[in-house]
Amino acid sequence: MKSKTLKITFESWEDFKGRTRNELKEVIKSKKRLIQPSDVLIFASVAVYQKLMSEQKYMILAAIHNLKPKSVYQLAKLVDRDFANVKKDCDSLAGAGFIVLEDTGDNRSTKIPKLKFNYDTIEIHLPSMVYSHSLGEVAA
Amino acid sequence: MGDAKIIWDQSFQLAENFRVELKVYEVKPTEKYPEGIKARFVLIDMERNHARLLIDNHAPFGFHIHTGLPEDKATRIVLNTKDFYEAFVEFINEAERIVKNEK
Repeated sequence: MKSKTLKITFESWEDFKGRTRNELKEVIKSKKRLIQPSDVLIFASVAVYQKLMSEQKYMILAAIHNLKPKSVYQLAKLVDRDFANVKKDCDSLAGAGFIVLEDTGDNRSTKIPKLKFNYDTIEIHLPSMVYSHSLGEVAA
Repeated sequence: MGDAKIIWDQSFQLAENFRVELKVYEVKPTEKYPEGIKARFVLIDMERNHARLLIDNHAPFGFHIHTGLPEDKATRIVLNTKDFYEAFVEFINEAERIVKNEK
């Protein structure tokens, strides 16, 4: 089976604003479709990603992927953590687009945690940085 | 919204607890959406799990901002904007202000 990857990319808020301003103009004018790929999540910085993610959240994602729990309660048992903390982490992961919390359809508030799509790898595309120091100018 | 076709969909994690979602739909021109475009710019507060800021564009208000979310869905401030672009800039500025104040 072909592996599926969720890509994490980074774009500064300034770059995002500039890009989306131009895109919006284009979309309204031409009605051309511009849809962000569903396998990409964009973060404002590596720091924002690091604040959001934790080892415990990776464990939650792995448990959902491998063990397919039928509720957040069951998930909490599988990762051996307190339900309230797992629920909070699931809300955060759902808000950021890593997972969805599906209604079970019964009249209870039970939600089934599922990966956003069936990815088995998270690929983090770190921004490339190039630093340049011109030594000649300093010496002049 | 049955015939709505999404033509623009962008999302962005602006801060640990704030996510921006930008969507534009092409809809059948009606009294509610005379231009045949439905726009929805949202800032989601992930910690409280609700939309903190929402700008949309339906009649009779035109572009308007919901400022009392999530409790008060009825309160709207009508934006004095000429077009989608100006409404978008207003959204961006307001989203920045909210996130800055939360830090």
